[in-house]
Amino acid sequence: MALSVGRPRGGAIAEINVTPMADVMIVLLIIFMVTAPILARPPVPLPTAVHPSEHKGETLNVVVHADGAVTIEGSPLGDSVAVADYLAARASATRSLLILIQADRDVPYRDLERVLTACRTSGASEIALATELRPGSG
Amino acid sequence: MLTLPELDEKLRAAFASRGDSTLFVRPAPELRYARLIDVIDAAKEAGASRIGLVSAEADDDAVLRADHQP
Repeated sequence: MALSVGRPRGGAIAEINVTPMADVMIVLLIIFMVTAPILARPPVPLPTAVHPSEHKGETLNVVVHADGAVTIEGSPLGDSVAVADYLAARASATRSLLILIQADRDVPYRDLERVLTACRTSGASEIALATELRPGSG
Repeated sequence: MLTLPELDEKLRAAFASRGDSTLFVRPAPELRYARLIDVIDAAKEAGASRIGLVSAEADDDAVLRADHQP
């Protein structure tokens, strides 16, 4: 690191320790909002945003319906444990692909949180929230 | 309670004074998802570089983990 150049051994290290924050709160994930070409016809009405990133690569799509029901690649899954099991059974895809959460704009956060937690505990490396670009903001 | 323009103002002031623009969001369970996206979008507008979703209630998480332990 540039900070250590020319610094004697044992010198001060200018790094911030963020561990105490993680101890107090469970960080579910660092989130990204994305739009993706696959979302030209989303399976549920997505929320709109002005500042989503664009994602063009392959994704593993997790759909959260307004009533909290979840489908992955067309398979309906009963609860968050089933979601975690499904993702864990496809560990290589779960770890290598962007998990794209396509949640209905009207779903209560508690239903989304269960799915996010399931994604995190099953080893997902990257999770993004699907949004549509708000009309007139592009 | 803040309106989105008030949130924007507060976040800009906070990011400027701290020199770090990481934001942690803890949504209420009953919050409509579209409203959460509005808040995340507003935070990006205000210059947030990293946004984390956090949960202070670890119970569900603990149950889920326990279910998956051999």
